[in-house]
Amino acid sequence: MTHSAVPPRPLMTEDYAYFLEGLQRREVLVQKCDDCKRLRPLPGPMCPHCHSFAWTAQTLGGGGTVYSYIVHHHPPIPPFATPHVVAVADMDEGVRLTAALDDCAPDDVAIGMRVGLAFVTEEDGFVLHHFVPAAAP
Amino acid sequence: MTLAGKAAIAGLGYTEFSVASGRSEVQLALEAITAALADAGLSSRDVDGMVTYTADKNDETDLHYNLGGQDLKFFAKGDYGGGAACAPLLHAAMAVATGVCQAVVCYRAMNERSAYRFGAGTGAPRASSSGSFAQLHTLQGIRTPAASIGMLVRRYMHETGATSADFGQVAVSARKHASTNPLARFHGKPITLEDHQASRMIVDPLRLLDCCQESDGAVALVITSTERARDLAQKPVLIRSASQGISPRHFSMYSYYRSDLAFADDAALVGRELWHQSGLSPADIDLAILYDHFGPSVLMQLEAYGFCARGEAKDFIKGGNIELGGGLPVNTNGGQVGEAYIHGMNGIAEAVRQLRGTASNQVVGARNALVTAGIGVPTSGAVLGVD
Repeated sequence: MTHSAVPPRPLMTEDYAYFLEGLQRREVLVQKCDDCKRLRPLPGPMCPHCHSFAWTAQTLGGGGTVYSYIVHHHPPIPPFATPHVVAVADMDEGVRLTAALDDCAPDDVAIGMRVGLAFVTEEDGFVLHHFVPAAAP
Repeated sequence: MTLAGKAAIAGLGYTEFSVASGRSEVQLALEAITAALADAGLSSRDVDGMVTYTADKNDETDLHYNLGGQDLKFFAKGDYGGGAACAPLLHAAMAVATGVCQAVVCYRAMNERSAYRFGAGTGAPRASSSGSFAQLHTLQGIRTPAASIGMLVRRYMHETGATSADFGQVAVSARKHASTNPLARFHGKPITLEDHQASRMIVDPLRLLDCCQESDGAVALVITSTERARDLAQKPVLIRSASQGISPRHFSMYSYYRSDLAFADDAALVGRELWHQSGLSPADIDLAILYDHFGPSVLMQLEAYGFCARGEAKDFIKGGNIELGGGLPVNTNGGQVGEAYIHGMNGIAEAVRQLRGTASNQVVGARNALVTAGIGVPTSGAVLGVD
């Protein structure tokens, strides 16, 4: 049995390019519809609400609240340490975001905990967003 | 016009289920298909339609060639991995109910254990928008089915109070059924709740004994009109209803962008359609084959298909209620946790045996069975029955 190595780099398909390019500038971008002004939960060319194709990228502030999480134990999936935590968070702007949660022991993660964004640079220079526990207020 | 009762399962065939079949997937498919045709009393020359999952590696052309088939007029594949488990029933039933086909073969054949374990992690994504979507998650370390589904299960636990020990009860019940099913990988090997709780974490909250048993093997079915099936070799098992389901904002494997992840709304959509088409309700169901890629999905489906209210599945399963002799026997073959993981089609085979009255763990007088497909992906389901 062979485990897959790090997957090939993100596919820069037209509809996802803005998101991946934003990451390289250390920003997490979401699309805001120019017409109905709603934020999109996921990349796409058209507003699911009003069907407008006009949109502008907005940068997320970075604050969020953990909605669910996993602690991955098996099989090992380099470059992640074993075990590692991944979370889905409700970001303060009202969209969901999924990311590895760094600097958090498996026993410390909980639904409802506050997280912030961090940016990690992978071996080949690609920048990816992760979560980290939010600093105490 | 509805699909209810227009088509029937006239033939059933399968191979043994193992960790290493020692032969090609084409051969596995052909063994199951020829067994199903013989069971129905039909020949390969009678087959004019073939349906499977997109995940199956055997193309119709290969099987049709080897079968010495004649004119194949309909072929279709259901997408989204194990969410497709009941899609071939829907496609085949529509084909024979409309007169497009006379006899359709459904098949799923795989050397999933010996050749390419799904649990080892995902490979290269597709060059498409859905491939980019998937990669947003694989890059963050969600790279196995257990990781993908674990995210839903954790939220389900948070909202309902269900615990790992509740999931353990599902595993204990499944392995109890498997222990008396000679077809099962875990025949003669029941487990205790302590065994479950001591099994190692794969992806917290999922333990080893929550996970299905990756397997080699094949299952095939032959679908004809109910009218024709009545003249064939076996008691017809009627397709009382069948449906696929994608509910709003639903994605595959990483469907985390709906408001409520603690409820399998795609399965609920399929359920509503199944009850509507068939005119039946959960109270009419004598046994349920609930897709168990991971045992906790049984709890989520009991709620989604309406056997109990939201959050109450952990109580519904207590006291042997989902075991043989209970109020709703579930996964009487041992499920994919205990019999084998043939992507759900072995569950359809069990429902057919139950309704024919030939199952190892027979539910006495079984007349209606629910069969379902994977959740966490676009899903499917069917209600099967006998007169």
